[in-house]
Amino acid sequence: MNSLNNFYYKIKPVFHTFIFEIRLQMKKFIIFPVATILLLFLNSYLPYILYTPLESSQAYFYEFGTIYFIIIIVLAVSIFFGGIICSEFKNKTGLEVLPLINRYKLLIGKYFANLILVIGIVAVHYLTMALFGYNFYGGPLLKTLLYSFGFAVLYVLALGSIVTFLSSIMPSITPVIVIMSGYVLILDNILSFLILGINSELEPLYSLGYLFTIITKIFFPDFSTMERRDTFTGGWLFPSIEGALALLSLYTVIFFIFSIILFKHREF
Amino acid sequence: MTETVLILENLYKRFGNLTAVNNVSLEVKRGEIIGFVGPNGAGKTTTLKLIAKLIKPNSGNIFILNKQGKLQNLQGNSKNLVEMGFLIDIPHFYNSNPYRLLKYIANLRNYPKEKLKQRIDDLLTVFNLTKWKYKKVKNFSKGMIQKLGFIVAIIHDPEIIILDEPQTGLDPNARIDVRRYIRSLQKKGKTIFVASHMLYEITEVCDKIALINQGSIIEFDTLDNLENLLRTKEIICELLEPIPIEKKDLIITKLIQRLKPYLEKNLDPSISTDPISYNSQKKSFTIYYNGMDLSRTNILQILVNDFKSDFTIDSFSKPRTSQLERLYTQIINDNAQ
Repeated sequence: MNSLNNFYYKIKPVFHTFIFEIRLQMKKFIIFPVATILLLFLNSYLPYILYTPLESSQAYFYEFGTIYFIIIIVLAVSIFFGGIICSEFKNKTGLEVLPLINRYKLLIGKYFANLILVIGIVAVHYLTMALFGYNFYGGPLLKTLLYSFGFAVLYVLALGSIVTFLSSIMPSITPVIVIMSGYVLILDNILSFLILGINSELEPLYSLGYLFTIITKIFFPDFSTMERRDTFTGGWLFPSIEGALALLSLYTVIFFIFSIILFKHREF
Repeated sequence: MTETVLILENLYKRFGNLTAVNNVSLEVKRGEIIGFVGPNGAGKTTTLKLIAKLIKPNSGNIFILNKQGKLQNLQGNSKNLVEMGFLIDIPHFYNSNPYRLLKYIANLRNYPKEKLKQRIDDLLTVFNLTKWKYKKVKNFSKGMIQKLGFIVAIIHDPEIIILDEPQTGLDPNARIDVRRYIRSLQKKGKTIFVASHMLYEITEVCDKIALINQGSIIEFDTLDNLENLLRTKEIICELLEPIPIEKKDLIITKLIQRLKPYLEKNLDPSISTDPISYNSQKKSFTIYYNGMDLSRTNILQILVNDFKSDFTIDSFSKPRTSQLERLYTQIINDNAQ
């Protein structure tokens, strides 16, 4: 009972930070699901109603509906997680709370609050997609939707940790957003292309763009038997479940630990 | 014996080549109000940030009373320490409303849930922020932000309160409120640190003053004891009625003659060229005397008995603020040489 009480007192500041952060970010949170639904409507509903022939299967439909979702994920993660540490210093809000709360607890509370919000955005995307899929293809829905959602959550975790790490070394949120978006959406592709030119056998598991492809490919029920390399170019198409799991988990843990260490030592 | 609640021991903090805090040592007893006075960049805020654990010292220790009544090193596990509240620098808040902010801060420090709502309401009332309770902080004026910062520092009823320039941006009424509240906190046994440039505020509320310059504490004592360090001391003698202008010089000459044994003999010309001067607007004499308590008594007796026909005394006092100002200037200048 005593140890339970101790645990409760330890966890309380995390919980209060979590609730406070959720409320603070609520305005931003409302914008993203609206944008997601609107984009899905324009991309995966309206064209099929108006002129485009429907994809041959649910899996193709979902794959198409998820390809551009990386942009939303990267933006959402950058915006939600980008200020997690640096804003405490830049806006000097840390002067009010850091003397009162252990830095680890503040970071964990804020991290999980933003994580839940971004997962909420991802969930809205998948629910909308499932709804549209049901509308076009009827039931039952592919259970691979859930696998993809699971990987999307893991991807958010990994990106969240990387952005938190950037936030711990950057002066403000703007360079975090620019660097993260620029890297994942542009630099990562260039880098993968260059490395592929040097060694085409090396699977680009380091690439965040490459890791994202599992989210779009895992919709296919025959995913485990699908060819992972392009038969003509030899280029890598998507990672294995084990590879993606391992790398995304590694990114999550390593960058989060780095963030904690850097935050602990950052001074006003 | 009064309990020691905080000890700073040989604290050093360097930023590159700059030594911001240089061998600072200090002992503070429960219920004391300590004033931190020094010029810009003297190391006041850095010292407070060290106590707030916002930065780490390069060397030295900070000991704070724990809930078991023992002094405990701040750098260790701080969960058992007595509660501390902080107002450091100009406060900056998350874009929320005072109610949520205060609730969050109090919850972080486990303030009893059942008393929290009342506590928030009471403090917002004291500082005239009740009608702003649910308004976003981004719409607040500088003074309101400052008041909210003060409330944030005390919302969880801490034992030690650290206030960095608490009067900045406040209107006169709010200053009085803050000053009054600081005194009421002292009556409850709270220990308070106030760093300020506003010497008047410091003299009004502080029991002891730490004069800090270039990272070092030059003097740390009560104001009365610090005044003994002044080379020249003054008395302000306010009159009920102004003296006639044609009689002014005559009265001053007579005063100098009668008070000669008690006047400052080596008066610093940068302070005044005359040992006694008269300010007709304020209807007051400024008398630079030798600083002895007995002299002050004798001066008062002479003024009352020998100048009955010339003027009536309304007040006779040592001007604490100007004393501190002069002391501050004197010590800072001496230290710079």
